[in-house]
Amino acid sequence: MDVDRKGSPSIMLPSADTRTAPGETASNTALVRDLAAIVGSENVCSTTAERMVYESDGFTMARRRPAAVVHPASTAEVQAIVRLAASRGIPFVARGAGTGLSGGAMAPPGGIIISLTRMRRILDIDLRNRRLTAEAGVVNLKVTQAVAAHGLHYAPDPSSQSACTLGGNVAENAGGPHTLKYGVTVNHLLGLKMVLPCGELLDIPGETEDNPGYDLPGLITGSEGTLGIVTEVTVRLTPLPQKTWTALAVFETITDATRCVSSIIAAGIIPAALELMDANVIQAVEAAFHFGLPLDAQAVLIIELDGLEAGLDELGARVRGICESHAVRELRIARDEAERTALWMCRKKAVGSLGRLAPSHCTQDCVIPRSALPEVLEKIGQIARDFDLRIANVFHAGDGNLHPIVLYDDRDEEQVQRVLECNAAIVRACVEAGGTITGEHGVGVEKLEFMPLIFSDADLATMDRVRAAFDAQGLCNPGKLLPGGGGCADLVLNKKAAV
Amino acid sequence: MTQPRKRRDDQTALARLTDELVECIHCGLCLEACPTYVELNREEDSPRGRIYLMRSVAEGRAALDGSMLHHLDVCLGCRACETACPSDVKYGLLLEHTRTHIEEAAHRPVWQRLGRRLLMEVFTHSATMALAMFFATLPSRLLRNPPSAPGGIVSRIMGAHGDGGNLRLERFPSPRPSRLQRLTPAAGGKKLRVGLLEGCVMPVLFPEVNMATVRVLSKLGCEVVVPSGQGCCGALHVHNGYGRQAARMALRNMAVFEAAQCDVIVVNSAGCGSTMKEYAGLFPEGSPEREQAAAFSAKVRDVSEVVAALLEQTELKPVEMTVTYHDACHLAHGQKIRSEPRRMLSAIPGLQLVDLPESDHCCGSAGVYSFTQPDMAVRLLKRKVTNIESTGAEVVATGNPGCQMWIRSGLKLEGSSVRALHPIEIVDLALDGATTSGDSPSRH
Repeated sequence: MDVDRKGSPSIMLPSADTRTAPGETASNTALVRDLAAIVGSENVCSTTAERMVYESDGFTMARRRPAAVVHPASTAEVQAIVRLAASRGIPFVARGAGTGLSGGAMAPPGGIIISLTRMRRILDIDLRNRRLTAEAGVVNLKVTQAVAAHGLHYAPDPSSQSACTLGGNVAENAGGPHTLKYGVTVNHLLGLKMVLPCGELLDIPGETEDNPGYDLPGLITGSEGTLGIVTEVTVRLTPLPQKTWTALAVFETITDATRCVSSIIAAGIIPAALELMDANVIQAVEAAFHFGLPLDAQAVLIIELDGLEAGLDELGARVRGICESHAVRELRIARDEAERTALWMCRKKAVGSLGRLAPSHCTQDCVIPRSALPEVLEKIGQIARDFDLRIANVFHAGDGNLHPIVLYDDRDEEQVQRVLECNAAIVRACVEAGGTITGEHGVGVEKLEFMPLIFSDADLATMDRVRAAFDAQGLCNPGKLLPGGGGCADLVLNKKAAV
Repeated sequence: MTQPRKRRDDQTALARLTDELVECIHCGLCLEACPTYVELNREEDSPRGRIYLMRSVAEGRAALDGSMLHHLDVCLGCRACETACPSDVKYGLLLEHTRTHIEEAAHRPVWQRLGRRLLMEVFTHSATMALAMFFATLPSRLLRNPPSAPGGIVSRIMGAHGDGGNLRLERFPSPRPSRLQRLTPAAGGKKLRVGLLEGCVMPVLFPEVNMATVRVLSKLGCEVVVPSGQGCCGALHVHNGYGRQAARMALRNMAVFEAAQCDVIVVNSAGCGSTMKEYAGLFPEGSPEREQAAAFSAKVRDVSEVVAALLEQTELKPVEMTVTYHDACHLAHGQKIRSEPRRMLSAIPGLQLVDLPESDHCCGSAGVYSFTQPDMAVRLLKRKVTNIESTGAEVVATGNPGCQMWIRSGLKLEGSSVRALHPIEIVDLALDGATTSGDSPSRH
């Protein structure tokens, strides 16, 4: 695979496929007919309009129209579809709700999308053993809703949890604000069923912990759909905390807020969540939800502690003390569950509310050591000025997981190019500070060019071999995650595609 | 944004909306709020997918072909996505302009075009509608069957499949709409002078709701004027792509209510109220009509807004009844009114208000949708009826005649004993009004 491992500032933005290529119609008709034989014609999208809406997921800078979209209702149907694709040499990718932020669910060239949104049944709830088995298309939040009455919840809570699916969560090893204390998807995945790229079924039961042999769920989680199609998962259910203490801390400067974050962690306190929103985000969120956030503050922290009732208020007092030592302007503690929910809605829908500030945005996702927060954020501010772009920051401060969000107008090609370069500069700054290129959004197509920044040729070659062990033909979500992986290094660079 | 936005030359209804269309940032948080997505699980039947289609047409990237038309037609226009959207995308507005563009530019078979126009004419003139309902129910009357109107025939003319759109009615409608008296004085001291929209469907199918509204308002100290010369609010027109006619209707109502000199204009139909609060959008920016419309809209209230406030100082008779409340889309999503109707009902002693699961999920009625898309309409109706039954309530209250008619029909179809009433009918009972007989409890 001949890929520029130095990481050119360009990202591949394929667009050629958004037009109907000559000859596409004839081969498509045959493909659609054969897919329809498996799932029924009403479950295959074949018209231009129907295929068009699947051009991108939540990452809209790269788009490619799939040759067809097929909606299976069972693992057996997924197997049949994958076998068909494998026999024809047609690349494929699984897609859930399409909320991913790195283009992971974009169709490969000439490929089909296998949409799992019809597979939305919760199959089994085992309260005694605190585990739940569900199809991959089940929406994350529905799991918690199904067991909340029993005092349990599903801990990974990505901000898109009201829409995103469990299958996508596994593919991206999704996190969320509360992963600071509770861990990410991989820590809550007990078993799974995955259709291998040849059509065979891998079935790892979730009945016992610590299976012998290779930790396949561990390997598959975060593999971004390159090793197969997960169709069913068994997840761990976590008891709801006895008590929760949620506070909003208001700071005059981002530096005060980030230093406060470091001090809280350094004091040995593990908050359930520790989130930061900067002035741009405060503006958008306040316009959307009217929580009463201070519009003149430079940063707010949402600090959540949870656990046993005994001792929680004392811990809260310690946190207050730390905040005060970092010049906190105001510390407002949520009085009740309603206020807590309202505050979390501000945080969880923050990225969405940025549509109020600009027509398009591109969310970055890098992780840095917490101690480097103050200087990296200053650097990002400088980068924004250098590229004459507006950047909003809303992120999981407790893990050092940054989400600088670049605001722009995707109808302006010159601006799109600047955004791409600005993104690259941010990623480099994070890597230079000892960080890494993605925390939870995945590599997808967005971060491909940056993989060589953190992995050596030998690292990447090893990953290529792992991938090949699962997918010898290179048909399963090629062109994602690994720069040279899957026989698909020929993705074209096309800046115009970001329309 | 600091950058100037590029404009297209082509000034179709849709192309003018490009700036609004790009406000969607493709986050997907609307998906699970959308009733058609929850049923069909497909991107092209979701708000995000539809906005993508609208944008591709507006930007000239795609043709408005049959497939695209189908997926845009499947949209209920319930605006649940607006409630879910963190970016404040005005989906309802986008859809209205898209539908205007469709009626101007897309190719529909002639009979469908005619059928659509006919539906508009029938449902927006109460005299015509009363006659149409009379003749539609004639076969069941002659056959001594329970009253029903064969909506399925209309659906088939419209090119839909399935015949689920048949309406099961409470009683045979009168061939003439029943009108309200023009002026009802306030009982006791007059607090407000209220103008009431009589509506098109209400006088034909739910005259008792209009009468209850007048009684309640009057007892709470409102002088109620029903100005003559008022007409259809234009909601069905604006929702189905006939924006120009809707603007004419708006102008007429604005003039009539202006002349009547009311403090507020009360509407007891969620769909009408929502449209009347958004009249300004029917007129070009900067036009004097737009300003007049904004002033008019500022006076429009849903009946629950006015009554909930006035009820606070009123003594009410107990009404022993278990009630659940269905949020009409154009109240909850269109007007952001959720608490007032519930507060109104909770104020009644003896009344037990129980939560309805998915209370703000569209019932499928959605204007003329139950005729144009009967399959989806019936799927949503069955879901709604199942949810209503699960509450154990005797009555489901809802503030929109379309929902009331459709849910009532669905309850009958499923053999349920739950009654569908307008909340104001229940308040009327608590104020010792005449019996709300539209839906007699001793049904079989």
